[in-house]
Amino acid sequence: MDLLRTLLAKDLKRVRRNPIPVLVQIGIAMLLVLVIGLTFGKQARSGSGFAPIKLSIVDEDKSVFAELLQNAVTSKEFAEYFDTQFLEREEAVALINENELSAVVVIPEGFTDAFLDGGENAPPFELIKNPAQSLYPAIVEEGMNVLVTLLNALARNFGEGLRQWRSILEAEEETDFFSTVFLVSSAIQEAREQLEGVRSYLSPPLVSFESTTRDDGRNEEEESASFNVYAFLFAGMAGMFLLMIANSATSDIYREARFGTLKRFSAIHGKLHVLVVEKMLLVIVITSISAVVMFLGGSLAFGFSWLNPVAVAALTAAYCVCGAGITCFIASLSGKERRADSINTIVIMGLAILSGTMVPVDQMPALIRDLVSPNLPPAWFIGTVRELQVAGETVDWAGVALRLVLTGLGLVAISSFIFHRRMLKGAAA
Amino acid sequence: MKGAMALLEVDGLHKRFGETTAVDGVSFQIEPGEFYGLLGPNGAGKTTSISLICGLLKPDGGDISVGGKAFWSDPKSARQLMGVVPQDLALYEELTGRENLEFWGKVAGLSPKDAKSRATELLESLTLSDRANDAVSKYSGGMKRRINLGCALMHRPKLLLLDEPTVGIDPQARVNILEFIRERVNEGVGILYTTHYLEEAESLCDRIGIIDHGKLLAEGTLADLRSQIGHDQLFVIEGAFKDVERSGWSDFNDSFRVIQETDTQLVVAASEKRDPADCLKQLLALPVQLENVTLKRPSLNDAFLALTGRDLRED
Repeated sequence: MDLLRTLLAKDLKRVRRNPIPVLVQIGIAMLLVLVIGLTFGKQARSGSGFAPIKLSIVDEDKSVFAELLQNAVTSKEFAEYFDTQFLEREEAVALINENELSAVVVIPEGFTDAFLDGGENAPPFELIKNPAQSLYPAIVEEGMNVLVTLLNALARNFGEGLRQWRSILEAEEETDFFSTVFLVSSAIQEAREQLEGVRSYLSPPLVSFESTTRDDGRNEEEESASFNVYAFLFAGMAGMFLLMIANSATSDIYREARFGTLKRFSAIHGKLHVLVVEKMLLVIVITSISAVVMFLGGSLAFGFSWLNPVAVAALTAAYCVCGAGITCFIASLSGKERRADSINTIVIMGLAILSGTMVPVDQMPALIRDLVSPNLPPAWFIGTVRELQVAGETVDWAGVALRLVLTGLGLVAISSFIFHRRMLKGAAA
Repeated sequence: MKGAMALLEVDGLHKRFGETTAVDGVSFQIEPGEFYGLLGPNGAGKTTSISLICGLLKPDGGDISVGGKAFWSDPKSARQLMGVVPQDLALYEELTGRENLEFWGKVAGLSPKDAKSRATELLESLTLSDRANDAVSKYSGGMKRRINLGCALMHRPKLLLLDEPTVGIDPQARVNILEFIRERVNEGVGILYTTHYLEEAESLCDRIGIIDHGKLLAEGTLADLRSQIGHDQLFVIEGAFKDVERSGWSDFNDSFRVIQETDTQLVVAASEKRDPADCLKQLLALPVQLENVTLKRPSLNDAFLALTGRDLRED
């Protein structure tokens, strides 16, 4: 026990004097969460997902259609998703170049006339996308596809009615009240008759759904925390970066081999088991400190709270033990330091991705979702932390934590045996 | 040379790595207070021999006894008697010199208090007291070598295994380290010293073993090794030896052994102890254009050359 304490004290002193590698790993994890979080916008805190897409509409048509569109885009529902400005073409293009807009939609001159005349000769809309962005312009393009499909459907099915409406809307001469009422009435009647023809398709639908939100008694603040995209991302990122940090700490065994201290230790003590166990303790201590910084710092920095902090803390501690086991095991199989570095990075990235770091396991192909991910310790951790954030008290986190600890201890026992055999065979470690 | 109670006894040591035989039947022993040098080029099997002796590797054959007991019957006690100075600087660069010494002392079983006092003592002996609290990363090569040596001495071992402890340092630092090691020998510590520096082996070692390709080719005192090759005399003949066919020089071939040959020089030793004047007379009569013939005392390098056919300095 004294020897274990001596070894651990020595290594912690070394880490304290050179903390940069660990700090860099924590920093990268925080930065990635920040970048991804910012991509989804500040509203990620309240769970609404995307920041409004900055869009400009250039109205070269100067017609009633543009006026209708203007009213539509300034509605509250639309404004939640699109921050729309009506600008001149030059001004809009300039803003695109400055990366201030995601896309510009140009309503071409003569569009309304052509559309209301049946749409056959309608000039096309123009969509100018910001090349510096990928996601938001694509969303606008999809939206344009929907709009164009809708307008085409209108023109094909209500062509005659559109002309009638046009004459009503654009009537410049003074018409008496009764004539106007007659025109509007007959237009409505015609539209009603046309809709009657497709009634069986439209109403009532054969299949329907209702959308309800389960009332679980949580207040708004709790609900906001549970759906917070940062918290969701954080669980995955932590799952991966804690393994990375564990790997970095574990590779200290190879540094000891490179500097000859491993041989010197072995020449004094013979067996390496105590050293491997000490390295595992070191990994647990370092990853635990990193986890505290990441989870506490993350929730403070990104404004979310863990619904069940005790469970998250216990799971994280268990995951640190498991991470130490996983990285020790991989290191023991890898042999040489350089090879170990490459193999460990690939294996950890693979484990992390298959465990749902980036994409939720539910969204993965069936083979991975059903056969691979359920057997991966990082998936146990990431999945349970995310579940805890949604389902709170009802998740069986203690069982998962126990499984993580037992897996970690088992892997350390195997890896210490492998390390010892390698040393006696004359390998570097 | 077998004493009643050798500190280290190695008998018929064998080690293979796959198809390569790294150590092939090596046998020697070291008495307390004896400085034994294992001399050989890189890859000769010196480091593997040390690794086998200190238990880092398990031998495929042969026996190792430390303090009269078979190593593998009680490896813990055997390791307690030994201090190993690896060729690498086996130090933690982030820690200070003192911290390194104390750490290795504790690993070797000293209490924190004993480790502290022993570290102070060694820092003094190694003339590093004034830099004791600096990180090792800030030390010069020579200072690192001294601390590396000190770490192996923390638990006062009776047998010190030194694997090329002076590699890559300046002459002054080397002298300091060698003096320090000599002092340990005077205290009764037995030393196994591997090196490929001839001068070190010549000036330091009580006995020398010459090892090449895993085999111990010869061992003995410097005088023993010299006499083995040339009865204390070597003849250096300078002349035009290129394209000369020596097979017809039957008298020469019966009377001399060629230690080294080039196009312009032959180094030869008399096969039997003879009067040097007779030898010179015979050499001057050789049917070849000679420029010079000189007589010299054989060096360790000549011994190495005679045994291996290679110049140690070439490695």
